[in-house]
Amino acid sequence: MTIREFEFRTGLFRFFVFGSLLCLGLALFDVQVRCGGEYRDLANRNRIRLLYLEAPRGDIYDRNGAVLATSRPSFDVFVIPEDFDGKNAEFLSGVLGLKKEKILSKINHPKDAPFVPVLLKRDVKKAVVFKLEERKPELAGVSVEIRPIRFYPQGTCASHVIGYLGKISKREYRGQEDEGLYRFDDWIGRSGVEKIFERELKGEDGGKQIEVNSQGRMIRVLSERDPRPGSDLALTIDSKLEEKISQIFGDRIGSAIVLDLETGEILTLVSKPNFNPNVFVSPGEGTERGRIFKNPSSPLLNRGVSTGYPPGSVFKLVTALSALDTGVVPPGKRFFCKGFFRLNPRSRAFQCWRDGGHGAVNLFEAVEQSCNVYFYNVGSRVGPDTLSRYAHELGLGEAVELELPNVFPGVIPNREWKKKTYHDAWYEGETLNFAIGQGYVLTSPLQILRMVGLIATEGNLPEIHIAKTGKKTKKTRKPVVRVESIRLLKKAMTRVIQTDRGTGQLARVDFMTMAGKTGTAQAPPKEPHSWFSGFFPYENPKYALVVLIEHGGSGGFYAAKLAKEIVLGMKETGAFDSVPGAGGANV
Amino acid sequence: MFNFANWREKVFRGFYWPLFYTAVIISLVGVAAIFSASRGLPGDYALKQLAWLGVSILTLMAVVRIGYRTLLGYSYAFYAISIALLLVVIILGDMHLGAQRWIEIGPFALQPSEFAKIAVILTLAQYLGERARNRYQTKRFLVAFILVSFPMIFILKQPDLGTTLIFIPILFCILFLWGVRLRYLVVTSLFALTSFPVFWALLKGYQKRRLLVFLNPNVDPLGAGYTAIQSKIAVGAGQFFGKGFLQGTQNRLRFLPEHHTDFIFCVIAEEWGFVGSCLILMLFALLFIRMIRVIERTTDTRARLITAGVVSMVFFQVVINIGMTVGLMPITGLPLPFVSYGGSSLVTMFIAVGLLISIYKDRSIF
Repeated sequence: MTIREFEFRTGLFRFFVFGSLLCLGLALFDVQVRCGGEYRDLANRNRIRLLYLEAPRGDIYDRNGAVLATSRPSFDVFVIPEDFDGKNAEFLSGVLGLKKEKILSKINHPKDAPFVPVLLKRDVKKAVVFKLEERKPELAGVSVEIRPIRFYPQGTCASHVIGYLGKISKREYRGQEDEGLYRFDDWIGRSGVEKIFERELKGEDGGKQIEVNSQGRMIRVLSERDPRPGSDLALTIDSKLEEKISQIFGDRIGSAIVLDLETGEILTLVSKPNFNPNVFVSPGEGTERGRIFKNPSSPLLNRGVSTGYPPGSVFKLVTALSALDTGVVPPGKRFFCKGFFRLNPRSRAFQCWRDGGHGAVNLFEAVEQSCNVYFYNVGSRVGPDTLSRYAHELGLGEAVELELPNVFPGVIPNREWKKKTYHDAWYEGETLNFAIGQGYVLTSPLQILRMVGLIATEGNLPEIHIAKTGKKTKKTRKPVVRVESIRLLKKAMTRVIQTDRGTGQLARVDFMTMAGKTGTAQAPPKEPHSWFSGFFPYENPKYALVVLIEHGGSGGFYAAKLAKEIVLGMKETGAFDSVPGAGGANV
Repeated sequence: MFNFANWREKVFRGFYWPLFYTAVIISLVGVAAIFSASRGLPGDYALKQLAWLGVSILTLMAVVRIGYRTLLGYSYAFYAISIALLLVVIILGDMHLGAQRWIEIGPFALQPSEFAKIAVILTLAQYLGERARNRYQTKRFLVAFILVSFPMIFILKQPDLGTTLIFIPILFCILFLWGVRLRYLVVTSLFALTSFPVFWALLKGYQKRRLLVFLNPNVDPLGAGYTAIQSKIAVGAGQFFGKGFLQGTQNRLRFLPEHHTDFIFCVIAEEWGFVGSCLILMLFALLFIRMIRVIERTTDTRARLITAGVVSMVFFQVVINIGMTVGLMPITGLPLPFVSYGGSSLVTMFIAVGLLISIYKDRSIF
């Protein structure tokens, strides 16, 4: 660049800089001097107000269109501090039932702008609204606004699936401040589908910028944006069946889930104890909220999905499959059960649940009678890594991809896992515990249900859903095992219920053939967890069911009995009306 | 051993005092405005800003002591470090919910996008200044473009639209004074105009709203639209002489968000009126006069390019920030240099001034 060109360019640069500054000066002159009077006037009177137009949150329906969550109008009392006369605090205190000091401290909060309405009380009764309206001329700055409040018409029904709302936290609010989707006192989904589908359900608030006169009445709308209501959501849950099973489950602690094997839809997900989600949005329910949070049996925990239990004998299905599929133990081979098992003559005795032993049992009898000694033999022959591989094939140790938060992934140990977690070698005794679903193994009821579903459908299970999102349903990953192995396993499972030596015979019903497995998972020092999982009708599987009773005692007794009640309940609500092989269509 | 006399000699001999004083005076005006703006807010913002001014001045001296030539030698390293810091910000942002522009170190919040500006100016000056303009110009041009685009992408991801956009005029000014053929700049501008839809699609909903509000206030009546009208009211309400120090009401009633950072000029305009606003503009004009003088005193191309980068950085931030308060520019969220509250911004500005003083001194040796 020549010196001349450089000088030309710096000259142009300089001209641009100072020219722009001059333009800014002129713009400031225009705003401050020419139009300054107008703006000063606007500033002095503070005539511009903001009105929020809250977007109604989307409704949640069950599979038949019954409303599970909606919005109802709530009368909320607001005060604009700048317009409020302190003399009226006494009257407000009487009508609203708030302490006068509390009202004044809310109104005179120094951090808030005096023209932004302050919420005094949410969801007041109609009578209170009338009292306020009567005195309206004297009550400057006080207004009643009708705003939507979340409402769950069916109360506790499917509470763990729906979830609940909570106030947005300071951190969450700051995280989205730029986007401006939420206001500082806004509600946000805290669990269940209310949390997972928060974005869709929430919608987008709108608002108005208005100019008011000196009495605070609107003169004109300066600008306005309509709210975009949230989208509705349909669940796969059948609320009638849900309520029915919830009643049958009663005060027991645990979970029961019913899965439609043809569609992969969850029809019922009961977790007990449950809670009433209305409590979290209604003012004046603070003590009840506190009770829920402090309750030692944690009612907010979704026991079907978000936590794990040792599966106990239900896990023997995995052990049996590994025997069948690897061919290490042929199905006809018998092992003799004398009530206990020793790895070698000097090792300790691993007990069978039946003191006298089962005698010589093959695979079918072992599944039927849940013989520990048989599975100790299988386990010690296939080893922990093979057991672990088959458990993963059946989806244990793998989180279920479901439209719910906090899905528990489960624990399926193997040699490597033990080394990483405990820095210790795997002991052979642990293989025996592993083979009967004790020791390190943890599974959620939902995982057991998926496993039984995979067995029932011989690996062709649709992906499990709890919300109807309109997306094309995929398949659950097909286990890499031979179909014949699964068919033999199914045959064994039907003996559990249909024979008089079967541990699950208490679940038997007279109108169809069922298949399943019981489990009694040791959980010392308390009573063992009681499991049952099965599918039905056997010939043409339509439903799978899992029942878990926390510290419920013997699975064959309590869980199987409860399962029968649930199946009868399902029949009552018409679940088998068009199901062949279940006293339905072909009768 | 630390030799104080030697140090003083190296820093203050041939020191460009007028530029230094102007920067300090503007910063002190800023401290006063922050004091007024932050009344009633918890935290001593004005005092903190004063402390930051002290830190900034010490940093400036360190920069002068080291000298711009040495710093240029490390420019690629600075570039790499600032890219790394920007990545850290993005990772932290993913861990927290949503927006994150700072790295918190104890009580301090470091804003790497501020320092990235200096790193980019140094890198561009080093790269272009070392290379003659009459050969391979297309290649030089493209490399400069790529050097700038990395930090821009990361800052846009934070998301900080204002700081992202400030890199474009910096690049253009540096290229312009390097002597790039004008048709390159024209073609690039046309290209930028035609690729606007792509850029638009990359923006988040609220960022689009803020830009659209500039054209149509109905787009966001409760957010940016409201801020725009309230800031204009605040500025206009100052009228000719202003309401007087600490007398501003727009500010007291908290109609404006960020009044001690991005909207600090509203506070000055409301309380000190047109007279005060003009005084600020004149102080900035004086600053630019002194900065541009540095270009003329040096023959080192790299030094000229640094100066061009620094002037354009400060200048465009001033124009965009003040322009946004009077409705001439969309609300993008850029601090007013030297004035807005914020340690990273202030230190960055003083590093920039330090570079110019070092260039000025260097010339005086000959």
